[in-house]
Amino acid sequence: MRIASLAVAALGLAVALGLAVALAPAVTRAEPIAEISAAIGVPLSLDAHKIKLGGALKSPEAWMAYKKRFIAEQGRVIDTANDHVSHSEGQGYAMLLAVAANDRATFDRLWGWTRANLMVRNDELVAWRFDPQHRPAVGDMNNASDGDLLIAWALAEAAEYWDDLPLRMAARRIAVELSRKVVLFKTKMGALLLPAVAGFNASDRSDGPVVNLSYYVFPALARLDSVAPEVDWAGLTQTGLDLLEASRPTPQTLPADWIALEGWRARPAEGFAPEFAYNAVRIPLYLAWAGVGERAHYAPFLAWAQRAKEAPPIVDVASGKDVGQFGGGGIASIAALVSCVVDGGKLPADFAAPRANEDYYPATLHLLALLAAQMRYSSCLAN
Amino acid sequence: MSRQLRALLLTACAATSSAAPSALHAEGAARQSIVVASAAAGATSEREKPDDLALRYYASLDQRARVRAEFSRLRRLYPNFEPPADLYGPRRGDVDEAGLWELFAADKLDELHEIIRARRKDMPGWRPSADLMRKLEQKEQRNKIFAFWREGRWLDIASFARDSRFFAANADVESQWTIAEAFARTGQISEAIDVYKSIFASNEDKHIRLATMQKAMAALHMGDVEALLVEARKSSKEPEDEFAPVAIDITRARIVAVLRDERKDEISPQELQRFESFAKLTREPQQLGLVAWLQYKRRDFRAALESFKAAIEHGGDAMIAHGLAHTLRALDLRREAEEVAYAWRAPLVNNGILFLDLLERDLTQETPPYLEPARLARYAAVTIESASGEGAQGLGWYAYNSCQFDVARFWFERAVAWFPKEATVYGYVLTLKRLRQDKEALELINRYDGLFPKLVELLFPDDYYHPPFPCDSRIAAKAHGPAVKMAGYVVPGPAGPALAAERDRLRVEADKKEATTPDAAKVAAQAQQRERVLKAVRGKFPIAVAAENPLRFQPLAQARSAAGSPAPVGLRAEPQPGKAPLVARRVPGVGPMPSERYGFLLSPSWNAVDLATWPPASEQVAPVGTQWANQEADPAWIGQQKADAGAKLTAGAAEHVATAMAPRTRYGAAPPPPNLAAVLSLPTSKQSQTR
Repeated sequence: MRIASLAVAALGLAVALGLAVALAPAVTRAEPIAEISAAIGVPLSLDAHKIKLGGALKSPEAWMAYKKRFIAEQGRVIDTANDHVSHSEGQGYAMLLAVAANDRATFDRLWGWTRANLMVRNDELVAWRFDPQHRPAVGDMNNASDGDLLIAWALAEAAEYWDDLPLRMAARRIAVELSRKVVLFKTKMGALLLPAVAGFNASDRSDGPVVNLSYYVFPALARLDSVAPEVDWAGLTQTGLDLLEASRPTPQTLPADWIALEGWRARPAEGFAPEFAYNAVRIPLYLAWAGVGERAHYAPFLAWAQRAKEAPPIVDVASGKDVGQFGGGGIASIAALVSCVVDGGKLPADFAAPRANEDYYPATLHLLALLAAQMRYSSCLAN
Repeated sequence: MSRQLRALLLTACAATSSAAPSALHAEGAARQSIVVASAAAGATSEREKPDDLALRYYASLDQRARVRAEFSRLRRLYPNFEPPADLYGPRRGDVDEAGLWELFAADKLDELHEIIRARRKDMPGWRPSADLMRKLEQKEQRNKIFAFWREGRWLDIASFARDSRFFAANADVESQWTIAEAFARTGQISEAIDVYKSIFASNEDKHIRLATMQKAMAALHMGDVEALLVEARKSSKEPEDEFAPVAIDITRARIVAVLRDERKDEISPQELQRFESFAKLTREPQQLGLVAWLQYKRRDFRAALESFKAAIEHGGDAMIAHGLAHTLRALDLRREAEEVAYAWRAPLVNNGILFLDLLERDLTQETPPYLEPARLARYAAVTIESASGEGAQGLGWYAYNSCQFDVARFWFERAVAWFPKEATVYGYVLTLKRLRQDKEALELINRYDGLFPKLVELLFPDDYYHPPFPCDSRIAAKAHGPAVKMAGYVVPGPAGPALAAERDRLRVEADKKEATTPDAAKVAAQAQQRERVLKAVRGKFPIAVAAENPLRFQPLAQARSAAGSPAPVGLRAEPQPGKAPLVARRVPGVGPMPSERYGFLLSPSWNAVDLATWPPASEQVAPVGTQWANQEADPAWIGQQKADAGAKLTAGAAEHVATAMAPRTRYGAAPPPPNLAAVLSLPTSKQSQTR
């Protein structure tokens, strides 16, 4: 893969230089650097330094509205578009938002519910799906690695912000277990984060291992060393970035939600739609939130974001054609954030005030995008 | 791809630029306004010297358009003509720059810019010397790099260095170290190595070379440093090994590489010996600790014990204590390990976790051993202060197995709130049944129908003989010492010796009974039992129950301080629940339900899988390639205990370990029911998930 992309790079170089020479007038010859810089864009200079999450959310009204719509009294986060089920991921998101909003009482409710209802596995990981309409409510013994990461991260941030030993202990237990059970640290492609303990490895699927790049929660990976410093979280970040490049045939191709790595060649995984959809749309959010990635990493997301600002499309990654639209305007907030972070685009007026009628998923992503902007891109919010 | 692309582009550009007249580089601004053909113009004779007087005149007045016109004219006459290097520079008689240099030296760069601006306004055509401008630019670039450095903005430093190759190549060595570190930290290893190589290539100062090697060791993987060492030694002017003064550092980095599994080659015994002597001499806890961790990794636990002890004696920190505790555990000195972990629990959460996990094994033994009341008390305190589900279930089992059911209930309630895995909820239900809380027990069994077969098995017993529970016999009253009530929690009384004796007696009787029961009688009994079971569960299973686990407990400190703490504000109500379903659905990762043998069928799982998972998720090995599967675990993980201690146990003791599990019968101990043969061939790969 690397060799192939090098060849593409060399080709691109030849084209770029050829273009510069051919178009240059005889006397006033243009500087090739300027020409090429314009072609690839100036390097992106994002701010990746570590920022504490505690107290970082500066929109109390948005948090109040979010709680009122999605967090039940007992601490369960309700997926309003999906039969009122809950996910480990949703619990993690809300726990993060609660720390960021400095709302200890709600945080305790969320964590109390999460451990009492989802920690039914016989390890330290979290069952990913809960549907109170069914018997039993836990629908799957499998975990979801992003849910575990989000919860561990939220616990670690809460432990630090509120100086709380029990939370630190819980964060460490989940983080260490995750690193031991779902990370393949030494593969040819680096440190692979399997989406779950069961079902995604080479021994489970003919096209395995399968990864989901939106499970590489970059801002979590940047912070978990506070509870589990022995784990190579930076290696996971690097692999996430590398996979982002390796998984696309051209620099402008969007990544699919689920990517098969059989034979260490990346392609859309079997049995899943080969689409840039509800999973992968979080990748640019996580990149920006952590302040990692270079212009090339963002290029396809930026193009996507600028193509249809109001209603970003779901894209078939093979054909590049739009195959649908994301439900909920909250997804557009990710597009807006990416445009601003990478290209200085102006944020829409409603970016700082999420709509009240959104469903759980877009509303959550919107609030997270706002939090990311408040933590790292105050210039975006200034205009 | 972008990285290589950009590197290639920059290389190409650098080549192009360097072919351009050097004078243009002397003054940044000129580059944009004067366009000069490259050196490709071909050889021209130097016979005639062009008259550049006019060019200089226009330049002195800063009349760029005229400079360009004059330059073009000269170029036509002399195709090889290049503008003089000092075209815009100062000449003799210019305004004295001393004041400017003073500002430069005093780092008053804003002021300097201001004065330059003002002076240029006053004196059209005046420009500061190229030397000053170049140094000013370099200083500003340097400042920028160190400003990024102060904020830990490594990516920014790396991209800055890539974009300003000229600066990067000519910067002072301190800047170059920073740039190299930034490349290393952002994964651009070959770029980092190149910077270090260029420092070695261009510096003969032995102090700089030594320091560079130390910097490289701090930034790079040792594998890369080894290559750099070979390279640097080539350019060495010293007769001796110039890196001898950092030999200890090199060994240290090699040890770290071994500890991180980054190095396969052994470190030579002589080299290690030198490092050990050095560590003992310095008495620095971190050096001694490194030796200790290496010995631990090599499973030389005796040596590791001595080294960790020495490190602690010389002021080692909580991480050193963590290593000491693990070494003691590996040597089966568990009691000592427990003390160390307990003493160091506050500064490092790892130790608190280790403390809880160390004693858990003793607490959950089927026949609980005697534990000193003080040890039980402090274990209970740590558990309740840290809201540990692991600790709470340990205390729950200890109390249950020593016939202290009220105490068991206290701890199981908390364990189920904090970490409701199957064995824990099972213990809780057993306890509730002992306390005749049948309604609560049934609620739990029904809540976890489809998820926890062990619970359902309480209503639908398997066909295996289970020996009686010692607490049912007369010894129950003598099974334990008194429990101790504390503020906010209760400590189980220590288990007494009567328990073990009673357990042995019951075992012997059970064996006799098993051997003397004829087979035909068993079969007849089974048929009768089936009827009996079905009759017994009527009205108890399935019944409608709440889907959620309502148990919540705060950690003790928080519970105390938050007695009047506010409840969360502004949460929503749960949606109105529909009618609670009575038919369980399949849960991927869960084995067959004991009720299935009695005709209670399950509906398909959320992803339409109809069959049970076997072996269940709890018995499956983690994915191949993970640490868990490879047993290459972080040595600080408690699960290593089997690997470490198991080898040393006698056969009798090993059996003890194998059976020292709660609950009594584990998954995998009994084969799945015979009528579920089809289940066995079920691949588990169907467990996928989508949004």
